[in-house]
Amino acid sequence: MKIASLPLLLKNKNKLLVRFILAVLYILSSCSIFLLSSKTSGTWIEYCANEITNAVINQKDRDYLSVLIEPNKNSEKRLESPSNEFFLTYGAFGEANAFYAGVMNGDKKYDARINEIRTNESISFLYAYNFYNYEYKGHYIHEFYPIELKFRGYHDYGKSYYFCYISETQANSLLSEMSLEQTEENYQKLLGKKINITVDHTSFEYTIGNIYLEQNYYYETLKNNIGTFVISGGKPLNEISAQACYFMSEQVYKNKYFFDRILKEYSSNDFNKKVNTYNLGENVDYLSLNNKLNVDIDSLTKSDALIISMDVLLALVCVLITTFLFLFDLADNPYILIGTGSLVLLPYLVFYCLYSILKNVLFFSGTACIIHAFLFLIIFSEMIVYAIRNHKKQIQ
Amino acid sequence: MLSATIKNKYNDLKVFLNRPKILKMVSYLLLFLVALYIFALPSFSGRVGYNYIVYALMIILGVFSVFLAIIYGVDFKNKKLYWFLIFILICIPSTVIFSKNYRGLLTLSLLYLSMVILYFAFTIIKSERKIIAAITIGLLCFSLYFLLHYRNQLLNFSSYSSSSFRLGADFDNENTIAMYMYLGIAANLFAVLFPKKKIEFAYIFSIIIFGLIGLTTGSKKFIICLVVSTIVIPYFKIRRKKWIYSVVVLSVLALAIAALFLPPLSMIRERFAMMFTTLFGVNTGETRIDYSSFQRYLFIRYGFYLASKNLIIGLGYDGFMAYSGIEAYSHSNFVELICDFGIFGCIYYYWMLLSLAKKAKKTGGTFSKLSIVFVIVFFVNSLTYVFFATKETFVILSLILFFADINEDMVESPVMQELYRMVEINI
Repeated sequence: MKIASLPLLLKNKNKLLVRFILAVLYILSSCSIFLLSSKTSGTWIEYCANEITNAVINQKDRDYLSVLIEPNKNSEKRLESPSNEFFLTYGAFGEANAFYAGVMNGDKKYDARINEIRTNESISFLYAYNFYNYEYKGHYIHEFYPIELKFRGYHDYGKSYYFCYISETQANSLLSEMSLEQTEENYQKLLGKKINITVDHTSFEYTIGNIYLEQNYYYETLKNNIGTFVISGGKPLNEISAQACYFMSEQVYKNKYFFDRILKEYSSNDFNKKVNTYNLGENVDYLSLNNKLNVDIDSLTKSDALIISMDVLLALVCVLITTFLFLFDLADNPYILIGTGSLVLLPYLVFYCLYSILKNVLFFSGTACIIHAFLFLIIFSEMIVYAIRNHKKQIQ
Repeated sequence: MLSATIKNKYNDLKVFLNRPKILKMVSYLLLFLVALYIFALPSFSGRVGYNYIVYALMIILGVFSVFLAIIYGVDFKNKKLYWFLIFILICIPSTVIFSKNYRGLLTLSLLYLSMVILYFAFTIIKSERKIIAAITIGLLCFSLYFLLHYRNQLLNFSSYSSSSFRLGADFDNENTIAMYMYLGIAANLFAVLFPKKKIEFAYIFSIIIFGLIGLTTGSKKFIICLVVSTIVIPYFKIRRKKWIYSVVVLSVLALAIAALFLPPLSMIRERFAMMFTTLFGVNTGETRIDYSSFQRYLFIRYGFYLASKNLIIGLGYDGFMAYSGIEAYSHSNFVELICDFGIFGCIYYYWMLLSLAKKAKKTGGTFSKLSIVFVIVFFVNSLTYVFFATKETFVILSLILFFADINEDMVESPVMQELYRMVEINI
């Protein structure tokens, strides 16, 4: 069919039929974008992030759920250094939230206790090996973790990495055991003191390097996710692995970002990924979440390029259909713009309602929505331009 | 009887205010108030407690402007005045349903009101060059205040190469101060390139002062605005001689890049180097990550993601801040508009800017072209910061509105108009 004959076609009695066919084609193309996009790796990650976000929200009295990653015993791959990974996550979404900590024994798998202090709970370790702390509002901050410290710190460890920063509560217990009062002078005396930490019946000597304050958002997040902890470097046992601990919050996009990072940086062949069951709230299906964490993302990304290319092609088809609809009809029927505008929005609204009811992001993925955002921008801008030109022509 | 008396009094007042000397006094009073307001904006509006000075000045200017606008018969039916009001109406449904940030809507409405008041004041003054002079004087007074306040830091030359050397935070956000300085530079540059009197060449000194203060803020946005203006503004002057235009633009850009390697500007150079390395992986010799650029990139992506899930009406004023869990804007005006007010709000806002630029181009006056420069800068800045509800944007919008209406080459001031009328009567 030649282009020159199309306007003639529109002017005859089949105009309504042609408009109907074009409208159906548009709806099919737009719906195909939504359905195709559900198969991309990005959508799968978004789906998993939604599941984790719902799990966090369902906990009700907790703001976070933590994910622990450690290298498999036979793997030669290592985790990124805690300071590098921390700064990357810290810089990602601003400073008022906790997203990452490098830990050991975050899941309380091993029974670790400070011999000199009576505690009910096994301790975890916030893994660090740089301790050039800096001054902050009358006290001090750890070099990279935003943990507030009482003193600049004791650094005369010699070659030993077996230092630890204990909490103010632990320091008070220690002073109480030593029959000393809780004064600044006595706290200062604790620095450089040797204590013994027993891990699974094996004792290790540590030097107290500082006392950390139990305040601020970062401490609260750590406390809720790994319980009682000390800041230290050096593994107490060779069997204990360094763990990357990511905190999932109530924000889907942030969880999506970190989930994406977890799946792409830590392959399931080399790393063991799991939801930390310590202090996990009720109604959390952690087995299902663990399965999602250990998905092989490479197999999902293989078809991404093809799917997105098809989506873009379909979007172009949508633009052409809508342009054809109002361009060739505008002079005869100014109300075609309202009809075309409604048609353009219809599939988006339908899928939005489906998503609102079913709460399944596979129907309303970020990929499809972003493609539709560009689609709407192009189509509505075009419509405004042609409407204004048509209005001016009519005035003339 | 009473209404007749009031009508007579009103007519008497109108005749009195239309006398040439009174007209001149009114004009200069408004210019003074405009200059005072422009001084107060960067000096006080970002400081808790002091911002009431700005509100008081706006009320005084508003009372005068509206009263005089009625007396002098300013056209209240000018459709362009109400374009932004329609934008505010578009913002209401999503704000009521989702973000419920009614205070933000009120702020936007008050900013719109300030734009209208300034527009009325400009329309009564009617002289584009006098308005530019008033704005320059206001910004120069602020520059003096700035220099006095930061004299210790400025005289400590060794601190210039420090990566944390950024001035302006005691007044407002450094980028905001930089945008005020940019406004002064753009307006003065136009006056210098298209002078009517030789004294206007003195604006070169104010350009230098504003430029130096803008650089001390360490704002990358300031540099980008300057670069864009350097490319666009000379085009209006020497566009017919393309090779001269190309040489001028390339020379200025080369000078700017060379200047970045001077020790006092090393902080800005480092910030750009870190930005290019972080965002594009370009090897600039700078290994540190620019967390500011990294965050902006993520915030923009996040904003677009949130926007795409609520494309029809958006999430309301400050919707990104409310629903992202981030206590910050999305750092892109385009993304913020689409996230907060949906596809229609975003398209309408930019259609408004484009229409004003088109109207300014049709008017054809010298300073009408400055409107086009501002709109181009707005479009470029749409990717880097949120400006649809900032004070400096509404000052610029009031100028654009005014320039889009008037061509000083054709219209004289109210004083001259009155004189012509008197001459005609006598003849």
